[in-house]
Amino acid sequence: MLAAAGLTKRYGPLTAVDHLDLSVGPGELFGFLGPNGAGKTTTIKMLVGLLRPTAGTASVAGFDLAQDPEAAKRRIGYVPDAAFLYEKLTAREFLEFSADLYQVPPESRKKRIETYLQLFQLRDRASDLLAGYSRGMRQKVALAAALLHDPQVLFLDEPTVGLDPRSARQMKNILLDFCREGKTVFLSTHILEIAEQMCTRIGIIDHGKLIAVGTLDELRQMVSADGQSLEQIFLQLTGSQDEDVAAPLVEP
Amino acid sequence: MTRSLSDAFRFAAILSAAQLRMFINQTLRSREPMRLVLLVLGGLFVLFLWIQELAGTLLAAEASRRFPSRFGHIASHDVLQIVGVALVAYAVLLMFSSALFSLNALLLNPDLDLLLVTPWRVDTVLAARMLNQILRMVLLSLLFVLPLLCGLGIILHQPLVPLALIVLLAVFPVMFVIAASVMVLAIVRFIPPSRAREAMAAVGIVFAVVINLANFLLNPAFSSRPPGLRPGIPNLPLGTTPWLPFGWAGRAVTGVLSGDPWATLGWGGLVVGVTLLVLVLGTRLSGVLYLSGWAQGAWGAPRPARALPSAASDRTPRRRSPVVALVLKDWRVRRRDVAQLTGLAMPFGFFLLVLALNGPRLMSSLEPLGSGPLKALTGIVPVLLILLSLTTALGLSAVSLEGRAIWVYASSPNSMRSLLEAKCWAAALPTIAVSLVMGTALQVAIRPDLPWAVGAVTLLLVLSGALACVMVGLGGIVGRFDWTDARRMVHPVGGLVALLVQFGLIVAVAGLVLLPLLLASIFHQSLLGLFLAGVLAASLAAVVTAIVVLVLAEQRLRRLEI
Repeated sequence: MLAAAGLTKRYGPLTAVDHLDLSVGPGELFGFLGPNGAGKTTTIKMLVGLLRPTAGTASVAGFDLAQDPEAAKRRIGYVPDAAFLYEKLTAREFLEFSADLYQVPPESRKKRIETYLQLFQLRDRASDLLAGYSRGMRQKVALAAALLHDPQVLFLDEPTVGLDPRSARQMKNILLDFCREGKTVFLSTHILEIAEQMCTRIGIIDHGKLIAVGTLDELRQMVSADGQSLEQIFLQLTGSQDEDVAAPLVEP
Repeated sequence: MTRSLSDAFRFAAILSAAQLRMFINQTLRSREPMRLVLLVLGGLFVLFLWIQELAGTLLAAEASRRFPSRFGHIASHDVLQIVGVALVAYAVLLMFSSALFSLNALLLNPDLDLLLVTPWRVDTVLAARMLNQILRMVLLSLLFVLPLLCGLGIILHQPLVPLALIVLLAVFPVMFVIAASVMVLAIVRFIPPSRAREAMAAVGIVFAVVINLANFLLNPAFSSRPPGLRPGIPNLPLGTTPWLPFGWAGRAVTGVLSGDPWATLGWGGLVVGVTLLVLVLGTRLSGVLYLSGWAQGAWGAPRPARALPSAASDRTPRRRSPVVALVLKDWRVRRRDVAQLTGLAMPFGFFLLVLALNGPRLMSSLEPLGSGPLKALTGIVPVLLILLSLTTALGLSAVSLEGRAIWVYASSPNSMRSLLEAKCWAAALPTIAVSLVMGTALQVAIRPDLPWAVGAVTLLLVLSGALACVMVGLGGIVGRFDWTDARRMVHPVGGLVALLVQFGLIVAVAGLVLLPLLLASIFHQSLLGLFLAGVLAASLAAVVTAIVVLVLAEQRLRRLEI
């Protein structure tokens, strides 16, 4: 469903993503983890066609993002980490606009918009301008817009930021249902519990390199540590487990 | 009291240092050649203006000394009157800019939150920001008047004169900036944050109206006076009364210029003393007002649920193409932005005002042109002036209107060509409609013969559409999408180049239409035939330019990385 080969992005001397090879199949909920600045957002932006790779290829649902970006994007839903929306549109108008952009069939469009407004508890404020929405509500609108055209692959960059616990739980359920339909979710998050509970496979990126990919058990085998939590595995793989980084800040 | 003041000054110093650092980072350390070149050019330009101002001041003083009968004698009460008017005008400007700054800081600028989580008192933070703003105002003022102040020092042979005037210039704004900030803190709770830009636009309109009204009422040039009498100094008792800060500062300035140390120290001391008092009380009051909870103020009533009935109905929505969807979205976004609408409407207001005041005179000045092509073409000139503003407002900003939300479109399965197509429709349709209405109305008013009128309006319509598309394309080439501030969405240098291209296109079109008319009069050819050929050539040139610019814009947008 999703494949990247030798995907690389350089900004001058800085290599943000370095020869990333990855394949995610149908029905998978893939967790993409990494420290700050590791290259997660850059990778996602290349996979959704917002950034042009310096080298390598990426394809979604069999469509190469460089050769046939429009066909690939038709099968992609994307929610960025801080989704900027048109503040002067209402939530419903924004969803209608998204439906138009993705050419959602008229017969199902209205039903879908209403369903997602209802699902994300936005219906009461669907006629309010987005300028008055909180970050969590904007996040819900962005997610609804991403789901509206029934994508094959959903890319989410820190999707639970700003969401209250109830909405976060709701989002998790939506994503699991999405995968049960044989579709793919590519999820970047810092909340390791989410990845541990939900993801079928996990990839860890550090300094632009994909340093580990596999199920939680496979990752445990990789670090030779049975029963360790994802947090411990993550810290071990990214080399920050034993560093007492706060020591210099603690007064003697 | 001393502690809170010193804290405010310390915090202001920290803020100023950070701002200076940001300025250096954006210019000297940016390592961008264009920025460095612009910085050097800007510095040279300021230096040139300073030399010019200093030379002008010294020359004027010398001329006044050599030919006193021609320039007349300026008495000290005249100086007080002039300085009083200048100080009142400066105070109005200070109040306005402070109100805008405070509104911006409280409603739009997220950095206030960043400062307020620091372990400083709220009133210290607010006072520091006010001091910071005053410092910027003083530096900006000095940018304009420093050579004049130095020139006065040279003329009066008193090296302390510039220093004394700079101290007054630095102290005088404080009370007005604080008064405006406190007023804004008091009223900001009634402004919904989502309406911040509209509120700022309203402040701008009020300022423009006040300035123009005051100018109209007070400027002696507008009052009737016997012919041959030179314009006098505006009589503004507010500026000279000894009961208000303008009068105190004015008398201190007069004291400095006339070399009266007691008047300088007395009135100047009063200004400084009252300023300190206002600074202390004002900052305390602003802290209290802030803590009383402006942020919990009005968030605006929810809009009436107009969309709900349609959602509840069973009507199947129509499928819209992405182009139509974009045009519709742009229409909604623009229509709901009062600040933008005001900017769009102001040239029309100005146009109608000029027409109302000078209409008959302008009409009679067209009579010598007869009823031929020159009259018809002159009739479209006012519309062209409106077009300059309209195509800039609607066209140049069309692509960057997406702002940081461009990801919505860029990640959708649509080409950049259709984005540009939509933007062209969104900008060209209202522009053409305005041109049609205004162009036809003006032709009816000036009454050239029908063929010329039709030709002129046709040219106007083609030019409107093409110019709107050219500006859309240029906006696509120079647009930026990484800013939240709408004013910075177009690269400043790129914006300037776009305006030059726009102006150049109009001049080229005018040339292509007027040249055949000139040839017809020289070679005694059919005027109508050559006129129509000129209109056709000009229209083609405009359309080809638009296509070329749009192709370049598409190339740029296809390479866009977000």
